[in-house]
Order: sequence, then structure tokens, then C-alpha cells
Amino acid sequence: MHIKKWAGICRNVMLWVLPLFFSLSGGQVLAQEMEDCMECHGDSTKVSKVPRIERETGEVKVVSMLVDKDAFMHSAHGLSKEGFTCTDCHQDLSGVYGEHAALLQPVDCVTFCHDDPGASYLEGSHVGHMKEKEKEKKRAPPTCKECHIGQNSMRETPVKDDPFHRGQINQMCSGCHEEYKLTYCTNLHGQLASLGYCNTDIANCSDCHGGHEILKSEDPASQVGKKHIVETCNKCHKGADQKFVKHIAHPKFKRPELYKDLLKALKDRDLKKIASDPQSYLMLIFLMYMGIIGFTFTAFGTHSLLMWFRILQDERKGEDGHGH
Amino acid sequence: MATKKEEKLYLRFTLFHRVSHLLLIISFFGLVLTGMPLAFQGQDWARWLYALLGGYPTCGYIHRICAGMTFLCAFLHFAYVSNIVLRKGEGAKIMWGVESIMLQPRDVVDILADVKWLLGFGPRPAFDRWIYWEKFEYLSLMWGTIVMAVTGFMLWFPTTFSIAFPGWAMDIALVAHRYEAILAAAFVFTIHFIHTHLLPDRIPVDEAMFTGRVSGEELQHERPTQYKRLLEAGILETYRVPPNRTLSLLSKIVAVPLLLIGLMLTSLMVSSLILDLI
Ligand code: HEC
Ligand code: HEC
Ligand code: HEC
Ligand code: HEC
Ligand code: HEC
Ligand code: HEC
Ligand code: HEM
Ligand code: HEM
Repeated sequence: MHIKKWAGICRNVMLWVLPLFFSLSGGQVLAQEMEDCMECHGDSTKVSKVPRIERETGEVKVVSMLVDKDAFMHSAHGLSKEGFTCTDCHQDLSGVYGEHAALLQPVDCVTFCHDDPGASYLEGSHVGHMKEKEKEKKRAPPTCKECHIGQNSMRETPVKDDPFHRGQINQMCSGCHEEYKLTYCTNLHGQLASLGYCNTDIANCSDCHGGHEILKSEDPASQVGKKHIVETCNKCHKGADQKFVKHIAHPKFKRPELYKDLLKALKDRDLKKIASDPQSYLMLIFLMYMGIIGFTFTAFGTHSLLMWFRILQDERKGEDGHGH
Repeated sequence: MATKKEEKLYLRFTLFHRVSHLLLIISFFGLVLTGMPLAFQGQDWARWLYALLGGYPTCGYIHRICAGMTFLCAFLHFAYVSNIVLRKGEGAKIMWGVESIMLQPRDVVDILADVKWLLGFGPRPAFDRWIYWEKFEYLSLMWGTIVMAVTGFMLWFPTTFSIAFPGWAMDIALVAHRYEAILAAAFVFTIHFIHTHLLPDRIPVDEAMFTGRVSGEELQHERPTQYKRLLEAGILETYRVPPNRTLSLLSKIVAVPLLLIGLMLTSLMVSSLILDLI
């Protein structure tokens, strides 16, 4: 807690002192406007697409060096009252005019600006899990920029309520939690999100689990833990109470795991466990409907087919079927 | 079946029934078109259809308005039935007997005769006013509407229902609502369509439910027992009505596209279900 507080104070001091310092030392840096960069980066004859190695993940991508200023102005940093310029983030270019070196330092989101919410992610237990399982799942923990990517570039960081960002979060989580994504999509929350509606009124993974600090549901401090779940659901469902939150967020009736668990419980004669798990009732209803649907369509399907042929047969014989 | 000039037409459905049925068609299509994309959210056609109809939350509003129309239909129907049962003292007639749409002992005989005919061992059975599968269709629609209405309301007001039920009751409601909807839509769009419109002797459209009229020939062919009964009682001619060409044309114009939409949607649903399993 102390570290966080001090880091926050340091950040604020930096934000005020650094510009002051630079403006006293000749006023050059403040004059380094976006237009200086846009002279080249807004002109497709001067910059083009270049292959670029993502230094943090090692991926190679072909990236356009063309900057869409409008899109930037609508991103979180463009909209901010702080009036960011290019070199606030591309700090190794402060004071550099005209041409510059090709390979720049990756933008550092954390150190000077976002150590505050950044730490909650970087020091959380979830990242620990990700790192532990990194080899097994063949996937490194996502970086700040991967989760906060814009539609065209990492530069266009969307605000946190932006539907694109919210959809991106679902995709990030699903990359490692495929089975939870599938079960999420058997509920209305996930069905609506999967149809492409990710506005703030439709719950995505982080509305329930949190964005940076993600804890196990058994942990009382978790957003879906005992203490906070009512509050979490109340964001959208006014009047949610302790009874309402017994909702099954991840119904498993279409997942083979459930049936394996069930067989095991049956073998152990653990009927109490089966009866106390609402997932079992969901499964029963599901299987019942599969049975009804199967029966109805075999019965009426054969009936319709046979009828079709019999009528044709009767017509060919030139009868009306009643023997006339 | 083109209506020949001197063909005699008889009234099978009154204006009340036709209007109710039209209302039911409109609301049912609205419900299916705005509901199915949710059930098949992984499919491209579902995204396309949902966006086409306005996306979230517009589709949700359409779904609820159409649900209201379904309630109106159900209300009108029950008001009509109870009016007959209570006031006219003719209750017995629509609840039991040849004119009734409730299942009768006679239907067992009909089913057996039908199976015999289908397998080629007998003549086409002589049905009365309601064929047994029409009764099944009616009764399953009634049951289905109740299930859809109850579960639909639970999804509409989940926090209100959680006063009485735990949260997972809403999940049960969702599963029941989804699969009952798939059952109902697939049934109406295939079996009901085949029975009423797509059999070789009446393709493409049976206008009975739109114009209310059936020809004497058709009546004799499909429901000979009813025809004979009415003829012998001497009241057949009281059902006689003049042809209505405008209505007949109109019903074709309305029904053919609806039939095509229904069949298309069913093929998408069925192919998605099969692809899901593979
Ligand atoms: C004279 C034209 C010119 C000006 C002015 C200019 N750039 Fe560039 N910039 C380029 C070119 C060309 C590239 C592509 C280099 C390459 O081949 O990778 C580039 C690349 C970049 C990159 C990507 C570097 C990487 O690591 O791949 C960043 C970030 C960047 N510029 C930021 C800026 C900023 C911020 C400014 C304003 C201070 C600016 N540029 C001004 C021409 C310019
Ligand atoms: C909020 C911080 C921020 C600001 C302000 C910012 N950028 Fe960037 N920019 C980034 C990030 C993050 C990347 C992704 C690459 C990386 O991590 O270094 C990036 C990448 C780029 C690239 C490489 C192409 C790409 O899309 O990855 C160019 C060119 C670039 N920026 C130019 C600019 C220019 C010109 C401005 C001023 C109009 C600007 N940037 C302002 C954060 C910023
Ligand atoms: C797993 C994806 C993910 C990663 C990785 C991630 N974030 Fe976030 N971040 C989110 C989500 C989701 C939210 C919105 C949380 C909410 O609604 O409270 C968020 C919110 C934020 C916010 C607050 C935005 C606001 O308007 O309040 C900031 C700032 C932020 N993140 C910075 C970072 C930084 C810095 C890092 C890297 C250390 C990072 N994030 C890594 C998912 C992520
Ligand atoms: C790089 C892969 C990766 C990503 C991306 C990821 N997770 Fe995880 N997550 C894990 C691993 C590994 C665990 C440890 C449990 C396990 O073995 O599955 C875990 C555990 C969890 C847990 C249980 C907490 C615990 O302490 O056991 C929750 C809840 C969770 N993740 C939610 C999310 C959400 C929500 C997102 C998206 C914002 C997300 N995860 C993104 C890998 C990932
Ligand atoms: C409506 C809120 C809600 C949403 C949305 C949601 N979850 Fe969950 N999630 C829960 C609850 C409640 C639990 C604990 C009970 C359970 O396992 O079903 C849980 C359990 C989990 C677990 C198991 C670990 C644990 O904490 O028990 C993981 C992993 C997980 N969710 C991932 C995700 C991912 C990934 C998404 C998005 C694709 C997501 N969840 C969306 C509410 C939600
Ligand atoms: C970001 C907003 C949001 C949050 C947070 C949220 N929900 Fe929902 N929930 C919705 C929306 C939107 C619907 C769909 C409503 C509709 O259109 O019918 C919904 C529907 C439901 C339904 C009825 C349909 C179903 O899937 O069974 C239940 C039950 C439900 N939510 C439970 C919960 C619970 C429990 C939580 C807390 C763990 C929660 N929700 C959190 C937005 C949210
Ligand atoms: C009669 C009263 C009905 C009510 C009150 C009702 C209400 C609802 C509600 C509230 C939803 C949640 C999704 C949303 O907000 O749009 C829903 C979903 C749905 N409805 Fe209905 N509905 C009714 C009838 C029907 C009928 C007759 C059908 C089709 C035959 C149907 C098909 C669907 C489908 C397929 C879904 C999606 C289920 C899923 O998420 O998988 N509904 N309904
Ligand atoms: C394009 C859509 C539809 C068309 C063209 C259509 C047409 C018809 C016709 C012609 C009949 C009369 C059959 C007869 O001669 O007895 C009929 C009856 C009936 N229809 Fe529909 N229908 C459609 C959709 C629906 C829908 C959506 C429902 C309800 C969910 C429904 C429920 C019924 C019922 C219950 C009957 C009475 C039982 C029967 O006679 O089979 N129909 N329909």
C-alpha cells in the first residue's frame, strides 16, 4: 500500500516537474508538436508499412507507419485533458526533429504513468498463474498493450468502456480459458457478446471477474466471491440479492467434463453431490428436450415422408385414395 | 388447387379464427427471427440476421412486443372458448365430440387406419373435421405457448423471479425456452408446413386458413366423414360461401414468402446443429 502511494506521488511530481524543467531549459520540447511528427507520419508518400519485431513478445508483424490522427484523438490518450503529444509516449524522440532512428524503444506504459493500475495486474496472483503455466499453455501473460490495443494500432488505446476494448478482453481471456468461454456463451451474457454486442450493459469476463486483479471465486475478496458478488451483479441487475446470484454463470451441460464428473460421482454413489449441484438439473432439462426433439422429428418426419409418397401413389393410380 | 368456376366453396374457418391465425403468424415470425440468432450465436448467419433486425437492444424490444401479441392471441382464444362454453351452453360440443379439437377415442381408430394406409394396406382414412395430427399440433401449440410465456417472463424479469426462486431457476428457464423454441420453430416450419401446404395435392399454399374457404371436392377428399355428416344432416349448404379472389390472391402473396423464410431458417438451424455436433 505504501509503495503504491509513494509511486503515485512520484508520478504526480514527475508530471508537473518534468514539463516545467523542460520549458525552463529552452522551451524546445513543448514546441515539439504533433504536427512535427505528422509531417511524415500523416503522409503516405513519406512512410509505409514496415516489418517490425514486437520487442516484448518477439512476434514479427507488418505494421503501417501511417498515423491516423483522428483515431488517436478519439483514443483514451487523445481524449484526455492532459493533451498528450507524441513524445510523451515515444520518449526517446523528445528533442529529435526530422528523421530519426528506425528502431525505437517500446513505449513504457507503466513506469512513469500507469504504475497505479499497472501494479494491480503485474503483481496480482493471476499473472503468477499465467507465468507458472506459460510453458504448458504455450502462451505468455498478455502485456498491457495487448489487452488495451486499439482497432488499428496499440497507439489507439481505447477508453475502458469502449465496446472494442470490451470485446478484446473477452478474446484475450478466451485464448487461455476456452472451456469457460464456451460455457459463458451458453448464457445470455455470452450469447449477446458473441453476436458482437460488447457495450457496457452486457457482461464481459472482466465485468464479473475484474480486469487486473482476478481471484478464484472461492476467495471471498474475489468480485464473484461471497462478499462482493451481489455488488457485482447489481451493476446491471438492480435488486440482485443473495438468492439471485446463485445463477450458473458457466453452465456445463454441453461439456463432456460434466458427464465424466457425473459418472465418477455415480460410481462413488455420491448422490448428494449430484442432487445439490444445480448443473445436474440443467443437464436433465437439456437431455429431456433432446429426447423430445429426437422423438418428435423421427415420428412426424417419417409420417410426412410416407404420406407424401402415398398421395403420389394414389394420384398415379388416378384415385382419390378412398377407393373411388 | 385452383378454384374452378362452378366449384362450390364451404366455410371452414370464421373470420375470427383467420385473424387470430394471422396475428399468430406475425408474432411467431417476429419471435423466431429475433430469438434464434441468440441460440445460434456462433454462426455467421445469426450475426447477420441479428444485426439486420436492429441488434441489441432493438431485437429484444421486438421480441417482447411480439410476445405481447402472442399473449393477445392466447387471451382472445381463451375468451372465445370460454364465451362458447359459458354463454351458449354449447360447451360440450367444442370440448367433446366430432366438432371438438380435443383428442377423442375415435382418434385411436384414425391413427391405426392412417398407419395402415401409409404402409399400403388400406384406403385413405376418412377423417372428420379435425385430423388427429391437427389436434396434436393445436394441443402442442397450447402447451408450448404456456412454457414459452412462463420461461420468457423469467428471462425478462430475472431479479423479480429470484424473490421466489434461486438464480439457477433462470438458467433452467433459459434452457427450456431455447430448446422449446427450437422444437416449436422447426416443427411449425417443417411438419406443419408439410401437412398444410407442401403435400403433393395442395402445394404450394393451402388457402383454407387465410380465405377460410375449402372447395367441396377438397372437403370430400380430405374429410369425407365430415362432408357426409353435414350432407346427411342437411346443413352442408348453410356453410356455402361465394369465392373471394382478392383474398385468395393476397393469401398466396403473403404465404409463399413466409413459407420460404421459414424453410430457409430451418435449414440454417438444422445445418448449424449438425455442424455443431461434428
Ligand atoms: C522525416 C520523417 C519523419 C518524422 C518527422 C518523424 N518520423 Fe517517425 N518514422 C519515420 C519513418 C520513415 C519510420 C519507419 C522507420 C522504419 O523503417 O522502420 C518511422 C518510424 C517511427 C516509429 C516506429 C519505430 C519502430 O520502432 O518501429 C515511431 C514510434 C515513430 N516513427 C514516431 C515518431 C514521432 C513520435 C515523431 C515526432 C517526434 C516522428 N516519428 C517523426 C519518419 C519520420
Ligand atoms: C499513449 C502513448 C502514445 C502516444 C501519445 C503516441 N503513441 Fe505512437 N505508439 C504507442 C504505442 C504503445 C505503440 C506500439 C509500439 C510500441 O509498443 O512501442 C506506438 C506505435 C507507434 C508507431 C508504430 C506503428 C504502430 O502502429 O505500431 C508509430 C509510427 C507511432 N506510434 C507514431 C506516433 C505519433 C506520430 C504520435 C503522435 C501523434 C504517437 N505515436 C503518439 C503509444 C503512443
Ligand atoms: C488481461 C487484460 C489486461 C491487461 C494485461 C491489462 N489490463 Fe488494464 N484493464 C483491463 C480491463 C478489463 C480494464 C477495465 C477494468 C474496469 O472496468 O474496471 C482495465 C483498466 C485499466 C486502466 C483504467 C482505465 C480507466 O479508464 O479507468 C488502466 C489505466 C489500465 N488498465 C492500465 C493497464 C496497464 C498499465 C497494464 C499493464 C501493466 C494493463 N492495464 C494490463 C484489462 C487489462
Ligand atoms: C496467458 C493465459 C491466460 C489469460 C490470457 C487469462 N488467464 Fe486466467 N488463468 C490462467 C491460468 C494459467 C490460471 C490458473 C488456473 C488454471 O490452471 O486454469 C488462470 C486462472 C484464472 C481464474 C481463477 C483464479 C485462480 O486464482 O485460480 C480466473 C477467474 C481467471 N483466470 C479469469 C481470467 C479472465 C477473466 C481473463 C481475461 C481478463 C483471463 N483469466 C485471462 C491463464 C490465463
Ligand atoms: C455473469 C458473471 C460472469 C461472467 C460474465 C463470466 N464469469 Fe467466469 N465465473 C463466474 C462465477 C460466478 C464463477 C464461479 C462459479 C463457477 O465456476 O461457475 C466463475 C468461474 C470462472 C472460472 C473458474 C475459476 C473460479 O474462479 O472458480 C474461470 C476460469 C472463469 N470463470 C473464466 C471466465 C471467462 C474467461 C469469462 C469470459 C469468457 C467469464 N468467466 C465470464 C461469473 C462470470
Ligand atoms: C454488465 C452488465 C451485467 C452484469 C455485470 C451482469 N449481468 Fe446478467 N444480464 C445482463 C444482460 C444485458 C442480460 C440480458 C437481458 C435481456 O436482454 O434479456 C442479463 C441476463 C441475466 C440473466 C437472465 C438470463 C440468463 O442467462 O439466465 C441472469 C440470471 C443474469 N443475467 C444473472 C447475472 C448474475 C448472477 C450476475 C452477477 C454475477 C450478472 N448477471 C451480472 C447484464 C449483466
Ligand atoms: C410468449 C412469450 C415470450 C416471452 C415473454 C419471451 C421472452 C424472451 C426473453 C426475455 C428472451 C431473452 C433474450 C432477449 O432479451 O431478447 C428470449 C429469448 C429467446 N426467445 Fe423468447 N419469449 C417468448 C416467446 C418465444 C417464442 C414463441 C419463441 C420461438 C418459438 C421464442 C424464441 C426465443 C429464443 C430462440 C430465444 C433465445 C434463447 C437463447 O438465449 O438461446 N420466444 N425470449
Ligand atoms: C407462414 C406461416 C403459416 C402458414 C402459411 C400457415 C397456414 C396454416 C393453414 C393453411 C392452416 C389450416 C390447415 C387446415 O386446412 O386445417 C393452419 C392451421 C394452423 N396453424 Fe398455421 N400457418 C403458418 C404458421 C403458423 C404458426 C407460426 C403457427 C403457430 C405457432 C401456426 C399454428 C397453426 C395451428 C395451431 C393451426 C390449426 C391446426 C391445424 O389445422 O393444423 N401456424 N395454418
